[in-house]
Amino acid sequence: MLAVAPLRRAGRFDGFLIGIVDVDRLFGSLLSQEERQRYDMAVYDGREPLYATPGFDLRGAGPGAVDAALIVENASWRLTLLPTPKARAEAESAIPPLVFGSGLALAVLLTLTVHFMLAARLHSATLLLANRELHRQMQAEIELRRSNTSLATLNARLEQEVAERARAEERFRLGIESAPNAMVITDRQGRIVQVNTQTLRWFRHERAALIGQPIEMLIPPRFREQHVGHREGYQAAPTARPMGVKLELYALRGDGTEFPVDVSLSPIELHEGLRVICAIADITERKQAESELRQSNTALAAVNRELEAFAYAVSHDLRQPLRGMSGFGQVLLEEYGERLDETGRSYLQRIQAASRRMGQLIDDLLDLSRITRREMHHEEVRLSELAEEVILSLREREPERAVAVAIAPGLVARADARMVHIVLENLLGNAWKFTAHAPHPRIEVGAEGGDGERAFHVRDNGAGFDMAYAGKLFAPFQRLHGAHEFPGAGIGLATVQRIVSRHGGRVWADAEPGKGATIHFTLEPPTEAG
Amino acid sequence: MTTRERTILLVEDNPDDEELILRALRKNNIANEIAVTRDGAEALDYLHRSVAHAARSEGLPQVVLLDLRLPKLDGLEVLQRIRSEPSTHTLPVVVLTSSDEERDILGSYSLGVNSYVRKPVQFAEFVAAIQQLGMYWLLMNRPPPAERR
Repeated sequence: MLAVAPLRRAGRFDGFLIGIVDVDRLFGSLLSQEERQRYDMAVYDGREPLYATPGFDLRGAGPGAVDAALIVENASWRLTLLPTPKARAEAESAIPPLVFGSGLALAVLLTLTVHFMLAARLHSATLLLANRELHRQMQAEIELRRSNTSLATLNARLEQEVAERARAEERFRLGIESAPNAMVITDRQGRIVQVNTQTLRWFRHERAALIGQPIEMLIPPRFREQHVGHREGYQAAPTARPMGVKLELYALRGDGTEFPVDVSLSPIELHEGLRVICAIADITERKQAESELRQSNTALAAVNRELEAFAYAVSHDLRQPLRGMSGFGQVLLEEYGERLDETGRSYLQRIQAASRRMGQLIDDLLDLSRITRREMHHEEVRLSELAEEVILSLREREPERAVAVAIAPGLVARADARMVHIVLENLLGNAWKFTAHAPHPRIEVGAEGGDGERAFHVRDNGAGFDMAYAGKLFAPFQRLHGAHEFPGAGIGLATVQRIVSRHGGRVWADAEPGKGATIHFTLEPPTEAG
Repeated sequence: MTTRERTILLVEDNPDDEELILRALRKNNIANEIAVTRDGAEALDYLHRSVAHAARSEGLPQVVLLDLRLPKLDGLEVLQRIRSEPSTHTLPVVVLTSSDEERDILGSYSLGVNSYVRKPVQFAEFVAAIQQLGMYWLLMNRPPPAERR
């Protein structure tokens, strides 16, 4: 019989003591050699026999049999003594078996208590063990269930991810398909794995003819070898970038014709490996527009050169005959003046005056053309100070004129100083000129408007003009006054307008005949925000 | 050598301008001999005493009055040749032209012109300009020693 007893120390479970109990020796030693000849003995745990002497047979039970109950912790044991045939024969002379049995039972009880206690402990220890095992199993079960649950969650998430991925792939496919450009996706070997419908339209191929083919089939043969090298270089370090920057790229259609393209490349890592998305734009129209623009630029440059040659010719060649007219007129006057009458001499003087005026016109015209051609240098220009200078030189030229001048202080602009000087010379010169007949001539220089559009103005209280003719004011050689009233070539405001428009500004006028005129101008483009 | 014996070389293709310049010089009592060449190539021939001018006497002019718009070689080319050759390297040259163009003025100065004068349209002004030119280059200005060789 195996005995297991739990070991406890300070109430803490420490383990099991396992021992083997020799039942034969335990119970066998209860009966002496002599008694063993008279009685057979058995011990039961319930119906289960724990021990029996070799001759014990319940079937042979007769008078003199003794049953004694043994109360053991957690168990109900029974001791049975059966008189052997020899004992029955000596019945009269023997100790009454009942007394013997009771004493024996007490001895068994006393002897065995310890063992039975041990056995009981063993039993409860077994239970504990079983319990622990059960607990462990239950824990395992719970653990399993728990992991089953998380597995299910994981599974659901995976499914969701798969669905999401499928949706993403569908979106990707739709995106590729609906792109306005030809979209070609290639694998690591440069083979076409996917194309959109635009590709088929532009390249004039069937889809089946493209899939699995090297991308080079869409490139004119003369670029192919080079392209393979470039492609391998790209595969080694793929980044999203335009292809062949500053190169003219051409694509090859199925019918052998070519068209100019722009290509941008983006690498994309898919589960099947590295893919390259080639977005191909057909730039035929852009190229055409560019070429047209180039042509018109060339034409414009030619016109500009012609204009410059013209200005140069005017500068040289038109002045020379004038000099002849003026010079020989003078010579005639000096050498032969006495042979002419007064009328003849006045005609010669008119020739002189006419040539002088024409000389001035040519110079004005040249100035105008120079303003158009001259390079601009932007800097901070102090308009108030420039205006003072111009007024000063006007006063020096005509010291007899008494003109009241009011210049707002601190007027500044970012502009070309030389050009702004010409603007002020023209505007103040006009104001000076057109106030010649005014009783109390007055000239004002100022500015209005804030950050959005700052406009400067030159105002006078002179002759003014009818606003009906304001449209003609800024055209070259347009004059609103007769030469007998006010001299001038009609080039001043045209010059002003050209300078202002070269600065991106605008110029406009307010006027009333007899009351004066105001010329407004800006020196920069109006800002968006205002 | 006195200034009276020194020559002025006028390079001018327009007969009217030539006449007016000569007249203006005379009016200003400038008595120097005035050699006139009518295109750029001839001007160089004169300076190098070759072709039509092979027979002229030795020496360089006191000053060259150079127009810019000239047949064959234009004024700037003539100026460039004058400055690039050692014999004429320091010869005083005055550009006398109708042009007021920046590129002509800048071009002349960057090639080493000594003065740039625009011909005035008005004869009176023209005469005044020539007078001043003559006074300055023939009387006041001290020519480089290389010219005296």
